[in-house]
Amino acid sequence: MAYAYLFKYIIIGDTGVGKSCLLLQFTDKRFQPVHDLTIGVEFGARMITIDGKQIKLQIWDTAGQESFRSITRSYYRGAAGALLVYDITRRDTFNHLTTWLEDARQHSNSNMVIMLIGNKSDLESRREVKKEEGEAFAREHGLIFMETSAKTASNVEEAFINTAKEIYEKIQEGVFDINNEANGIKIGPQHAATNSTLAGGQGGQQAGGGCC
Amino acid sequence: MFHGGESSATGLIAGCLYGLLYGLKHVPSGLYQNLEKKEKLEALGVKLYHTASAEKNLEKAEQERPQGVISLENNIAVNGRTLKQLILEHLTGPVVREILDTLLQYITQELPRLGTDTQKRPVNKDTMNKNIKKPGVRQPTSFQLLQSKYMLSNPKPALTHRREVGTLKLKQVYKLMKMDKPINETGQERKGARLKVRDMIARFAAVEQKKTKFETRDLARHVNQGPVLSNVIKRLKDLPNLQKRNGLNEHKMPECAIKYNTLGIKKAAKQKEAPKQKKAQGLFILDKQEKQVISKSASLKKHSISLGEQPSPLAVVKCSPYNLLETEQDLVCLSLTQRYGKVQRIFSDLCCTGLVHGRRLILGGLSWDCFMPWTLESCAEEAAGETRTMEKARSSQQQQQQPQHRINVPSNARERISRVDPYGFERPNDFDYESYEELMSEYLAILTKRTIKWSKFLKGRSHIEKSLKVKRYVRKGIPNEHRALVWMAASGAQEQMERNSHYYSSLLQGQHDPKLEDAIRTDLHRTFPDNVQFRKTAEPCLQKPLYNVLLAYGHHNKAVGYCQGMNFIAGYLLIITKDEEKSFWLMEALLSRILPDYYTPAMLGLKTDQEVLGELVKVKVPAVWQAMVENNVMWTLVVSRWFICLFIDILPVETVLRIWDCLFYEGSKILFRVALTLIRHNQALISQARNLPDICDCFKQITRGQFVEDCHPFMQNIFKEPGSLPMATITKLRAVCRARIIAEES
Repeated sequence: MAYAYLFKYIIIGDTGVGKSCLLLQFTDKRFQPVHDLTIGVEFGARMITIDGKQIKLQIWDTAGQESFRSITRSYYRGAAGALLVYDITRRDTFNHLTTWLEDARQHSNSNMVIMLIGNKSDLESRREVKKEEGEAFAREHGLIFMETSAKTASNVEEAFINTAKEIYEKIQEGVFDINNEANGIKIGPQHAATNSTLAGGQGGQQAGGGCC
Repeated sequence: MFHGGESSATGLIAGCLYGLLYGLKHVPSGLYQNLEKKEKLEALGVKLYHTASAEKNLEKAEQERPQGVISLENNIAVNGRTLKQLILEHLTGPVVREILDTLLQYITQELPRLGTDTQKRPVNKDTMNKNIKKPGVRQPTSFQLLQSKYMLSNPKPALTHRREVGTLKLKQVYKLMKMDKPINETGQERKGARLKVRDMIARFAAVEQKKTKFETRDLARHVNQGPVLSNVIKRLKDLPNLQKRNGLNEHKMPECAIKYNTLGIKKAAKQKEAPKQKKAQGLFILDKQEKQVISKSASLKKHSISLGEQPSPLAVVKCSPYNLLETEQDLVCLSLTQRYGKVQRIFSDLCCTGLVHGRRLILGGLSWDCFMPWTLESCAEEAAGETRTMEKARSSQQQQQQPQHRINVPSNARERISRVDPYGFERPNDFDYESYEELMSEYLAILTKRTIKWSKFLKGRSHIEKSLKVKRYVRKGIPNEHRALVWMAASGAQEQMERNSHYYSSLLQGQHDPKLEDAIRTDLHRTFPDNVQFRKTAEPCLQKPLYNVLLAYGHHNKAVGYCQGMNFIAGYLLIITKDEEKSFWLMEALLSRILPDYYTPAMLGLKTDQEVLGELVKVKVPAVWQAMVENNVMWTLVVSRWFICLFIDILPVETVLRIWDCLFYEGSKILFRVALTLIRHNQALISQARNLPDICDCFKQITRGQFVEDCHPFMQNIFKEPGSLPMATITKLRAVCRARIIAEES
């Protein structure tokens, strides 16, 4: 499908915080109570519209366990956005955020937009991390913040779309060099096709080869 | 060597042949000087030579015997007619048949041509023995016979017309078969099983009715008329009495076996018209083995059976002890031979004795009931065929009543095949039952063959030494009942376990690391949620053993602790071994000896092997390498799960287990073979991919479908498709890649 831009996302955070469930809810609009363990990396993609432009999100869902950190690091490169997820019912997943953030900042490009997500907001009775704490952490580290529930789908769309909006704004501001793929942004065939209708086939092919 | 296969074996054979032809003189002494077990081999050679010479010398003794009878070592009188009958006998194996063909040809054509005045002179008409051999003619040795088979200018067998034995239309009859049962037998499953037996009896009854044109209740009258059917029904009828005496006990079983034996002989005699005791014995060697097993098995497990009062065969079956001797597998394994014609017959005979009745048959890990519809149905068809003529004569006179019992076989594969596979995994919603059934109908034949071979091989063996034979056997698949044993032996886990007998329990007793406990606990419910054995409600539930094994391993190997992926491995080990301690030691063997450091925090071994695979692909499948480079795809993206989970959840369960068979025996090299096979086989698809997600999709796609489902050909493929893959190459590549990764990371 034609799109104007392609953004690469990465989802990170401790094991069992619901990273894969967030992705599944976003791409498939469904919830799986017992989700398979993510080992290595999984992919998801969805098209969204911002400012009348079709934007394709390519989302890399990573393994959260500490053992996999050394492998996960290689996925940061070329990501435009990151969803850093913790579980509001497990304090330690919140405590580990600093390590995650360090890792992300160290291995990604400096302009990467990071969205902090406190997941499992439906489990209010088991809450261990207050919403205010999440907001404070986000403020302190310059992140966007949201509490979501992959189960009820609350705020899931928003989390992904708001991140995209932020990236899009940065593009408009000229912060991102969209010709450098290492920034996790690619121009889609939609742009290429507008240049010439005659060379559409060729242009499409080029774009196809260059983007995902 | 000149090809991509087993070069070492080819070389070995070539060397042996050269030695045979020209002797050791021309062989460079360096090649055999340090040969392992050289003395033993030489001694064996000498023995072999003497035996062969002794065979030649037999002819001298022969001359003292009644003139003109070729005597073989087992004292079976051989003449043209007997031979011909033997050849025509459909129980004769194809190999034996060919040898006999040659022998017949030798006797009838070669001998006369040798210029001797061969005569056919009947000596004893009663026994139908004829003497065809003239004194002074050298009796052929086995070697000569074989030689004559392969060296003759005219190797065409003397007999071109063979009796059509009838083939078992596996596909067709397979549809009647419910192939597997879940490991935890539920009431519902049993019900399904009974249904099958009832259907079978219905079939029997129908055929019986057709055949005899008598009413079914008048059973006793037909006992000697129908070759199979009436016997079955009679036995079933007798079963209540038999079982009322506290089940099939030790004394009863051998008796049945003897009956069976006599029956077999009688049958053989009937077929041959002229009874030959010796031949009958020869044909029923299997009976003896079975008898042993039967008497052995009888003592193993007794079962008290509650039976209804109804005397009808149907009722008996309904109330029959469905689990009777269900753990006893040997009998049925032995009874099955490769050739279906024979299986059919043996089964029908076994059924006559009631011995196999209700027993579960375990075949290479897949189990179904001994009353296999196809077996019995084909028996019934056979019986029907034999009496067809008789039937024709009568059919005009009598209108037959409908069979008493309706046949009620599920009409589609989805209903016939269990929703849960033999290992407890629920089949996915989109599972293709039809093609699975088709596939399994072929694979079961292979499993049967392998089961027999392994059972024979393991009989009386306390431990397994590595050898070419074992390697070959392992590559062809270890039957599920022997898997744990062979894995334990091949990996050295058995030895470790014996040497450290209390180690495992001690690991579980001490203080536990709460962080480790927590990490393991988080993944318990995420380990095989699709497997009924891992559900909290399962009885027994494998979650606790899984927790124990992982906890013990985490304490045993603190550098690794617990890494995701290990839960799947431990889970598979528990499914196969059904034993925590064994699973622990197999895990230990895998993680500390067989695999490089895949699970340590740095995962250096894993990263290395991913790169090694890349290097191998570069050489062996350049098109795919090209596509990976062009689209900037890291190998870790597409294959990390392959290595970490050792193909669990990547490939079908049966295929994974077959891979693990080789992994435990041959080591981590197998993982590369599998990966390379998958990639090379699908290179066209992968190299067409135009972007990263497409490539990632391709790598998922290639782990599905017929190519990987059909595990036996797949396993043959992994030793062909990637070509030669010496361990030295891998070791070298590992060193190179490891150094590169370390350099990059620092």
